[in-house]
Amino acid sequence: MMTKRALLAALFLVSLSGLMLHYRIHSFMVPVAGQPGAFTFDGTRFLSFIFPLVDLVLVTVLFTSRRTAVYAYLLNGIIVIYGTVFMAHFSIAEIYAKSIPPQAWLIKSTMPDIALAWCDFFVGKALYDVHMKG
Amino acid sequence: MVDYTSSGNIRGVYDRPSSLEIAVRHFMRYKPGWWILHVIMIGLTLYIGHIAEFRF
Repeated sequence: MMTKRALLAALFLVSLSGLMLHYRIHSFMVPVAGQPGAFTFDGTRFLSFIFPLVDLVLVTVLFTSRRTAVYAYLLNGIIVIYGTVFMAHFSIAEIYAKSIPPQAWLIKSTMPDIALAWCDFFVGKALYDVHMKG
Repeated sequence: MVDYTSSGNIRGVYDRPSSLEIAVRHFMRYKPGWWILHVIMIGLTLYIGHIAEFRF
């Protein structure tokens, strides 16, 4: 029970951090150039808001019960795979757009962010395993 | 030993499942929900790939 609570707390904090970081780094309401105070909606950035939000709310709630843990595990995996593909694509697009030199590709990439997403997945996996065994 | 069915045919000779039945059985090995979920997820992935656009 204590392990479950600790893992659930870790999962909640990791997903909350993911949501807050995404929102801070690139909010889905983008300022319009040349129009102070005006904002426009960016669909791609909204995806980076809605997926962590689902991860934070739905996955955490589903992981609280043994009966729904399998759906949480599945949804968590889907979100992490989407995040991995999106962030890797984002990095590659940024390398092209900003002509980043090859020696800076790794350090300027979103590889640490992808690794954090996989931390979220493995915490979820540990929680699922505890639910199934305990 | 010969095994007779109710229709009188020898099992394995005349009651062999058709290729369509084999295909349907293979498809229905997983529940319909499994297929619906996968089709939805593949569709969602393609849709997201279509709408995603990175601006720098």
